[in-house]
Amino acid sequence: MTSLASTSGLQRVLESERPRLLRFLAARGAGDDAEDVLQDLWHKISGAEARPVADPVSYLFRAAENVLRDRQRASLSRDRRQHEWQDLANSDDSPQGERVLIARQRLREAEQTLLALGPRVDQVFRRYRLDGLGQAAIARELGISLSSVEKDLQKAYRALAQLKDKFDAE
Amino acid sequence: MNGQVSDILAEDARGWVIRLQDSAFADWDGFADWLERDPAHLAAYNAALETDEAMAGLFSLPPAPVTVPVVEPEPVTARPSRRLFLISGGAIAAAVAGVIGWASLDSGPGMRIEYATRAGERREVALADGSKMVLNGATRVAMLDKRHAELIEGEALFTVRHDAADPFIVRTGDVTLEDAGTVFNVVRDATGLRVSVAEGAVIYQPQADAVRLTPGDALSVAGGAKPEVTRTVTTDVGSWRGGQLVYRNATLERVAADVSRNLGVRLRVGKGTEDIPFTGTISTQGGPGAVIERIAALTGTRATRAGNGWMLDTIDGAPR
Repeated sequence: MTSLASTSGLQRVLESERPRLLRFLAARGAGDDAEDVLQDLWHKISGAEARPVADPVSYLFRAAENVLRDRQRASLSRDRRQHEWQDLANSDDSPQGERVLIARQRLREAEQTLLALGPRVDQVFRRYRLDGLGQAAIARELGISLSSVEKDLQKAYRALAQLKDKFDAE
Repeated sequence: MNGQVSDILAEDARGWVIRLQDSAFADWDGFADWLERDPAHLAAYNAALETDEAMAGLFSLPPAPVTVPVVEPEPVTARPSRRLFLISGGAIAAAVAGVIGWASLDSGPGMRIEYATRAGERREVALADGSKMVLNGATRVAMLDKRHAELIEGEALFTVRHDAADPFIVRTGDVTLEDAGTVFNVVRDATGLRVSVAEGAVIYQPQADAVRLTPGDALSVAGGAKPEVTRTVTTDVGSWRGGQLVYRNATLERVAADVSRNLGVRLRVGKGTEDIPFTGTISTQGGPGAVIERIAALTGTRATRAGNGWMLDTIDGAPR
C-alpha cells in the first residue's frame, strides 16, 4: 500500500540502501560474502520481471536474508550435524523405508505436541508457519488480539524446539 | 552450565525467527542491532532457524500410505454375468457384496453395485478407476458409476485417484463431497456425518455451502446444524484400520456408535451419558468386553451387559 517501485526502481533502492544492507549482512554472519550477496541480489532483481513491490526496502532486506540463507545452506549442509536428520524429514525414499517411518512418527509427535497446547495454538501455528498467513491476518481471522497470536506462536515454536532436542537425543 | 542464560537467548532467537517469517516484518535494523549486541546472538539465531526448518520440514512429509488392510479380503471372485443386472437392486447388492474390485465388470451408466459389511467386518474394495475404499463394519456403499459412490450408512476410507476433469463424488444423505486428489474418511451414522481428510482436499457441498477441507480438517454435521470444522491429526484419519479410534472432544454417544461398528457388538449409552466428552485413543484390540471396560474407566461410566449388547451408564445414576 506504500510506495510502488518497478525493478529498476528496486535497483535504485538497493544502491541507496547499500550501507544498511551491508551492515545487516555483516551482522547476519555473511563475512566476506556480504558484497557477493548484494551482487547476487542485484542480478536477481534485474532478472525479475518488472512488478510493483510494496515497501521496497523491506523487500530487499528479506531478499538479502534469503540469498544469504541459500548460500549458507549450500556451503554447510554437507558436513552438518543435522544433515542426517533433515534428510530424514525430507526423504522421498519408498514409503516403506524405515527413515520415512521414523519421520512419520516424529510428525505424529509434533502434531500431538501442538494439539496438547490447545486447538487454538495448533491452528495459529499452522496458519502462520504452514499456510504463510501474517500475524495480523490470523488475529483478524480468529478474532483474537495480536499479542495472543504472538504468545500462541511462542508456545508452539518453543514446544517444537523442545521436541527436536528430544529427537536429537534419541 | 549457564542453562538459564541460554534458555533466554534461545527464546529471543526463536522470537526473531518467528517475527521474520511474517511478510509484514520491517524491523530489519532492530534485528541487526540485536545480532550485533553479542556474537552469541548470531549462533543462537542460526540454531533456532535450523530447528524451525527441520520441524516445519516434517509437516511437508507425504501423507501416510493407506495400504494396510487389517482384514484379509475374502477370496470371493464372483463374476456376475450381464443378466444379473436385470435383477432388482437388492438382489444385485446381495449377489455382489462379496466381490473384491469390479474391474472385470462392465460399468455402463445406471449400473449400481452395493458393497456391504456386517458390524465388526472390514472390506477393502479396489475400484475400476484405480481408486480404493476400505469399508468399516456395518457399512453400505453403493457405486453408482465408477466415479460416484453413495455412502448409505457406516464408515469408509476413500483413497481416490484424482482427475480434475472427472471428480470423484461421494454422496451421503443430502450431502455431496467432491474430491480434489485425496485420502479421506467419511462416517454416516445415527450421530450425524463426519468427514476427515488425510491428503489432498475435499469439497463439502460443492454446489451449495462449499466448504473446502484440507489435510487435518475434520468436518462434522449433526442433525440440521451447520457444519463444524475442527482440526485432527492427519495420521489419525482412518486409524480405525489399525485398530485405533482417536478422539478429540467427541461425545460418548459417538464413541459408542464407532465401537459398535468396529467390534460388531451393540453398545448403547444410558441417559445422561450421551454428551460426556472424550479425548484420547481407544484400542479396539482385546475383545469387546475389555474394550468397553476400558472406555467405561476412561469416561467415568459403568459398563453392564444389556440384552445381547452392552450399556454405558452413569456410575451413580442407574440402579444396581
